[in-house]
Amino acid sequence: MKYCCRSFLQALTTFALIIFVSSCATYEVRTTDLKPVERLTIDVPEDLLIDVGLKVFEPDLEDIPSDEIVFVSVRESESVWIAQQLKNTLEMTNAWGVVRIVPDDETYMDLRVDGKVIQSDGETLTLELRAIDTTGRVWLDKEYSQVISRYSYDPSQSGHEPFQGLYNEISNDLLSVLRDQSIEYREDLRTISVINFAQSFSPEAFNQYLTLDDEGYYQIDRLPAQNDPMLARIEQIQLRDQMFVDVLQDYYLGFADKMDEPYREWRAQSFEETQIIRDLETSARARRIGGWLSILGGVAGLYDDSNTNRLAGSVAIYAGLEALKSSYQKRDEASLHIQTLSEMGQSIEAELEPSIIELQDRTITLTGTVRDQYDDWRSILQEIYYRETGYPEPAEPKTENELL
Amino acid sequence: MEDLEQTLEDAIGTFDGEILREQENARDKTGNVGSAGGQSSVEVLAGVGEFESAEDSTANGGASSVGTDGNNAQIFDDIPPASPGDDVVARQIREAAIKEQDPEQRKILWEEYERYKGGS
Repeated sequence: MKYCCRSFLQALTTFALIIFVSSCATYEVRTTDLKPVERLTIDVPEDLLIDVGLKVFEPDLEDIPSDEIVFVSVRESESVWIAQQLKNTLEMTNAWGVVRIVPDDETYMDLRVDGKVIQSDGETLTLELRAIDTTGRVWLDKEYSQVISRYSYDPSQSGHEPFQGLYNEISNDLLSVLRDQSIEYREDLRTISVINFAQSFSPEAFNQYLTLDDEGYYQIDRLPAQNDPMLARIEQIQLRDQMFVDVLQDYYLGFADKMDEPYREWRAQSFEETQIIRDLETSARARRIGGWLSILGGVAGLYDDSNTNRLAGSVAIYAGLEALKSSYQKRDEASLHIQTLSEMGQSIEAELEPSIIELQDRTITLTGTVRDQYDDWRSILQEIYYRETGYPEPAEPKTENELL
Repeated sequence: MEDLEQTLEDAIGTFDGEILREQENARDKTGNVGSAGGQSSVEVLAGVGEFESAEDSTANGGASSVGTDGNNAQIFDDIPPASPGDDVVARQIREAAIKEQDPEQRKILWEEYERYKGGS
């Protein structure tokens, strides 16, 4: 019994000490794995370049874990800033036509990339991405995540985007899919984009040119005549749509430039605080467990026949209580850093909020005004179509009063 | 019929004015010269945007053909590839240069493209 009890006591104390000692230091092994962005070294003929539309990322504010501190304006600002970083990266590849940030699904591009910010705290960036071409084929549907090391925020690295590796990975994946596409398919994508745009303005005139194949993807059935007057009108409108999207680029770029410095500073500080909080919480948890085990072991020792073991039991209880006390101190310290993180967040939030609200107001108002204008043009085009073809205009649906 | 064409043309003209004002506003606000250099683009909009059919678009080594009313234009060696940052106006100037058969005119257009891009 004595042997058994002593063995138990020794094992427990050793275990407690191991945990206690291990809690005093947190080891972290990280690698800085920056994948270079792949670039095309040959010039792609003009008519084979695929235009890319990057939709402003969704801030995903609904599914945030309870233990994650997220500031609404910061996350909303990031959703533009991240799209801008990805745009810059894609433009470096020399593989695409124009790359534009677009406000919604109603802008017709050869390839559209939709993204969602899942996590962004300065240490980890996780994005959900889906790229779909104008036929409806999905090029990518994947979650990307990068955890960076302290070195990424070293002053020697200033000017480098810490998460550039993640943007490069996305860019390389898209380029890999692009490389698999035949010349004919690329040409079709461009043509389908134009017809899709034309259909959205004059469905009567253009709804017979595209069909869905067996898998439900758009395919070209036939082409409009090159001298089709309706197509010429649509092309004039499409040019205006491109101008509108270009104006939006100025707004997005201006906003991203403006938030760049404060955001980068906040992210670096957030990284530091996040690390400290995690270390403190880990340490507090380990000390709490170690403390309780030590107390339990000590209590068992108190009932031992041996004076030495009883003394050891008392020491273990004392050590356990000290460990618990230390655990509470660590927890309190972590709370202070959580508060600091929160205050830093409120500060950057206050700095970014007016700008992101202004950007959203501006882009929503401009988009709404432009789309209203497009509706007017649709009506005019519809009238032109029926006059030009001589087809009878469909009767207006009767109102409720007329039906009665 | 002409009245509708005129209505559409007027509406597009008004839109051009509004969008160019918005462009200036965006650049004033953000302090960006943006990707377009802040110049008037109305004059380069006329007569552009011809439909490029899949039938006419064929990869041809370093040169490609652009279908415009049955006339194919080559991308000449003196026209460098499009910059990814080109805005719509830069693209239109570039496309005009690509379609231009007269080397002198093409040179002028290319200089205009460079000048325009130089402002960005």
